Amino acid sequence: MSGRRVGSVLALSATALGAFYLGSHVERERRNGGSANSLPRLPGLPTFGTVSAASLIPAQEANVSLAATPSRIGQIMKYGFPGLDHVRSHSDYVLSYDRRNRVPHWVFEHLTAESVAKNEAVDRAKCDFRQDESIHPFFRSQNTDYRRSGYDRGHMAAAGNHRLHQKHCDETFYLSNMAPQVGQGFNRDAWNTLESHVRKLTKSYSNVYVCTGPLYLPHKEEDGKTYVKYEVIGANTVAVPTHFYKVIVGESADHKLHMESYVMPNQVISNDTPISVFQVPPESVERSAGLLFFDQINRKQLTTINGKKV
Amino acid sequence: MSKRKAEETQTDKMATAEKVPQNDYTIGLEDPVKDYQKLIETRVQVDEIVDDDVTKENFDRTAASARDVIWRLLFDSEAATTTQPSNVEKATQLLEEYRGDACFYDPTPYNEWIVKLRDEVLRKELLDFWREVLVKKQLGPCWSRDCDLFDSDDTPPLEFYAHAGCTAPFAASLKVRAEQDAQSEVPEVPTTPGELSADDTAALSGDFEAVLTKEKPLEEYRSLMKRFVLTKIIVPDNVHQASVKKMAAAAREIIWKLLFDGTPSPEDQDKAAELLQEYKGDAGFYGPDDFNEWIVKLRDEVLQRELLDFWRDKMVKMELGPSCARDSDYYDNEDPLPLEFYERAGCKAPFEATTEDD
Repeated sequence: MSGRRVGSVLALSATALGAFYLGSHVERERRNGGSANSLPRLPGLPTFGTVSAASLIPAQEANVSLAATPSRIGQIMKYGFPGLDHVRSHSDYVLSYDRRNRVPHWVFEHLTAESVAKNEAVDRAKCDFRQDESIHPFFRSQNTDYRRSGYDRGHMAAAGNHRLHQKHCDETFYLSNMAPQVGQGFNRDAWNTLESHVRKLTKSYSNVYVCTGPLYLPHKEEDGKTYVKYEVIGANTVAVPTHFYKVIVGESADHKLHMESYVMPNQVISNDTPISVFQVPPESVERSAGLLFFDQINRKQLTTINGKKV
Repeated sequence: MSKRKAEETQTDKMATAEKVPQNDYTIGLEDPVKDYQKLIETRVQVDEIVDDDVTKENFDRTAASARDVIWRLLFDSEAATTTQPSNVEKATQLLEEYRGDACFYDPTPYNEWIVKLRDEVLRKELLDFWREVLVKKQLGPCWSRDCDLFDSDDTPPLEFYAHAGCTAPFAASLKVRAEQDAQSEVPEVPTTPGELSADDTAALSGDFEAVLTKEKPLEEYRSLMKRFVLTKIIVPDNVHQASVKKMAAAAREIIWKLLFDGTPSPEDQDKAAELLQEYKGDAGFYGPDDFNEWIVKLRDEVLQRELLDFWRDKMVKMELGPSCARDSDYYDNEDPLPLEFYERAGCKAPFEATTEDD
């Protein structure tokens, strides 16, 4: 009874909000005369995307959406937003941008066996690292910041995770999806191994959800005090994170949920280090990041965390 | 996103790209590396915001110019004899410089062209150049070793180097790596959080005995604080406050005993002063009201019992009067300082009144 009331109130308020934003958007467009000198806008949050954890999303996607549709965002963000700062939606991943550090706070992806499969129609070599023009120029990172900085333009949402369409892959090359990563021994090796591992999980789980982002972890110095210290590169002072995390949830065919969580230091890691060494309790990542991952899942509902029964 | 427009930056857009003669990407044969670097500096590595398409176009033209010059330096038989050493030197330097940029901006054209260059080098039997420059300096296709557009899933360009009896300088390390890929999983260390310790449980309930003795009151006070108040676990505020109050009461009680159970020895006075200092510090953080009220009573009792050494050398000198802006963040410079507290038995406060600026 009351459930239906709440539902109708929600529907009404959603419609009102939608109308308001649509109206203000139209007005804004009119004021700008559709001008070319305004920043392109991307949808932030899905307004009408209903996100429910009650049903499994079918792994088979009939059609590939090339726009950030509410339904696709709803799918990706099924288990909750880690935070709501400057959320940007792309056609196949969602990003929260840290304007102060010029790198993401987090990116969220939803992978299936299909979306990570080799696809002749998608060529990574065709992609270019590009500045994200939807970010205000003050807070944009650029190629010049990274050139000869000693760091790679490290993807947070990996290109290899988005192979349903060339456009999906292209969109992972926005510099807003990058953070400075140590190249040899990390970005192109150990971190890449972790990315491959996440892709391989689609063999065991029908849906894989992964949140990736930077950390700026403190360390104790000789005076016994603890400091957070990190380099910033280029004219735009892009932050070089000390560590990166991935928190992953796999949905198995029998509706069971399995979580894995990793933290890797942004430094050369020898090739013979198994990635399991970098597994940490998910709550430790949450504390350090200032974010909550998969907040819609009660940790008690998980079948395993980092391979161990809960 | 803010409604502020980036008008300034927008009008600057492409400005740099238009300051220079548009189609002149000449690299001379005199000092090709310098010419090349200047083109990169002025048209590619620009610190203002430039449309990426413009930057890419500018780099592609610079790169094409560089490829052209390298080719001419190596294969134009101007001298009709073998290629001059100085020209080979120039070509080598420019090739290295260009490749470094190609790795960052656009490796694909380089990777295609370098194969043609290799074939021409081998056809003309410039084997020294092949061995000493292309192979040894690893100037073949860009790959994950030197370029962030590739990763370890991409095929390394081993084949490129496998000519004229050469192999890739990195072949051996790749072999080692392939062997390591048959890696064994390391058993994991359990990371389950342990049970709460007994102390933490007590801190959580506030259920602990706070008794200090005359022997070592300061150490006992510190150790109890550490065990039951300064915990790492999250304790509800009301429990935490009760624990702090309990400790404060224990401190006040033992100080009173040390000073007023008969005539206190110098040691007991020292102990009382030490603990009083520590307790005052904690009170300044946790809330000084109780302390400020009680310290007046203590002072009156001290003066009544004529413990003048304790008054002068401890309470006044060590500034053990009411908590104020000098020692606690509960106050600021608008609060009056407790000067009057110290004006007894010919003493004065060990600090100056704050001068009013206005």
